Amino acid sequence: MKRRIFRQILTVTLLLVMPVSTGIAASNSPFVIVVSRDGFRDNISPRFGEAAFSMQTTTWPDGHSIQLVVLPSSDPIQYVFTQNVLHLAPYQAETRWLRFVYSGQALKPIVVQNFTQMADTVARIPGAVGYLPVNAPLPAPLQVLP
Amino acid sequence: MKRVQCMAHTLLAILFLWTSPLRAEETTALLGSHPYQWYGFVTQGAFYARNNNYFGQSNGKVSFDFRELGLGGNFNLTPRQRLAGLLLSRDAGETDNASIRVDHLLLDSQWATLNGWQLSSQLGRIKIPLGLLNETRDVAATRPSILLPQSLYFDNARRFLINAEGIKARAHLLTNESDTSVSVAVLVANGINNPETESYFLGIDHPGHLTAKPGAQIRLVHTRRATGTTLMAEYGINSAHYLPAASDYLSAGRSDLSVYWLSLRQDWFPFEIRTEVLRINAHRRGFGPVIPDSTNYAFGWYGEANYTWRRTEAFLRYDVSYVDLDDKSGTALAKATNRPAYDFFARDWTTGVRYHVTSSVSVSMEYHYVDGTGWLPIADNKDPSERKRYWHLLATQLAVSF
Repeated sequence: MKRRIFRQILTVTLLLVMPVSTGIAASNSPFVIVVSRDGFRDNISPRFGEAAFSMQTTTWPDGHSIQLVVLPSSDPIQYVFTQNVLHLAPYQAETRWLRFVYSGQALKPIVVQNFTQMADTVARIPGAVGYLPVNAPLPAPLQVLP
Repeated sequence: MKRVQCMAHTLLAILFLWTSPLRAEETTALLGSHPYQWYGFVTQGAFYARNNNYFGQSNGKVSFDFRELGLGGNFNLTPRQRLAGLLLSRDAGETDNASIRVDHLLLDSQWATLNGWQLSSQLGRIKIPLGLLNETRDVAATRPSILLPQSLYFDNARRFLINAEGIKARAHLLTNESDTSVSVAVLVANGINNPETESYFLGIDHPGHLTAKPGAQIRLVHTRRATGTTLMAEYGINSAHYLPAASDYLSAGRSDLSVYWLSLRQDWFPFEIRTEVLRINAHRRGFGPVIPDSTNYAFGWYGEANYTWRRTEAFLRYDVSYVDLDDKSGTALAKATNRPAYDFFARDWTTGVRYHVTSSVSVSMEYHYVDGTGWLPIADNKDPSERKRYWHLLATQLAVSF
């Protein structure tokens, strides 16, 4: 009986770890991830922005806390963003963010209502990271993450 | 004491209602160049059960005796050091009394980067990092369901599992392909000297009391980007010593736990599959003839599939637990303790749905069909003869957060 339980668990585990593509590549994303021009983008990996938005990393390489700036989960644009960049629905992403926040491991994302507020907030808060449409004009204080 | 708790609870509720109309942007501000922010939540549940009680007198009637209230904050002391804390109040039938407690209060420090590994630490009262969900088990917005799978996240010893004083050190490596972290924690559990934890360790609440010795934990988490797979493995050791009362039938014994935990999460948008396995080797020594020296192997496992469509989430879960893996039917334990055999296992089928009314308001509903009373709250079902083997639970919950 004990063997049967472990065999069942092993089967489920093997089925789950079989490699499956999770969706659209980030390079096809209709968004760019932006930060303030304050030096936080030095020495970061090409997928740092994605890792920041999934809270797999919660600090910049120099140790500063990352502050996410996002649109509301109910906003259709946020749906497109989380699906493209994180391969998650907005509420799934929010649930995972809150697991880090409510255990003291990360700052709570700031929710803004539109891209104008997004750009202003990212420019104003040290360590903030947000996103803008790929073709939108980039306000002067902001830089695009690689 | 109860009156003070009640007043403090009311104060926390008023503070919540005062701050809840604020948007997240307004709850984050700058002090100098350092951001600080606060946040919180309030929930209200309604439970209806058949055959047993769960969180209040819910057998055959609706119990509203489940509510949670939390108020937390973050303050960046320096660019690399952050203070984080959460006040929590939880009312859950006879198992929790709504008293306000410090859920966590810690100093999070970022140290250096060594060969690509980012080193950090947390010091203070920290959340015990068990599995994928334990650290925020009392925050409704982070739970996939109203009740977490009880085979692993059992409420019968929740005070022992919630938080502890100590230090956690973490190394984290981010590459283009994957994300890996290793953490080591040395912790002293603070929720040990209470009837529910003592019942978990020793069967019932005895005249003496338990004290915790420092425990240790190591944890490895690895996420593969290409497949959306997260694997977590964990090992921990914990020890509780019994101090007999002046006239006691027990000797000064000890209970040692070795904890093995494996978790797997697979993202297949719009699905999320999760499975976790827990095994606890529990050794009891030196309590005298009333509790003979013994070792048992507690075991829990669950598998869950979640589906998300726009504002709606749905899930299906199977959850099974045994007090002793060598006695899955509970027959031997029943003979030794004079309790029903179904007190020593539980198999739970659960399905549920959550709808996000707005970004900060959600409504959840779930149905449980359970065989066994292995994790049924004893405090809500004190008379063993009235506990039924097969039981049903319909739970609903409204959650508001800011």
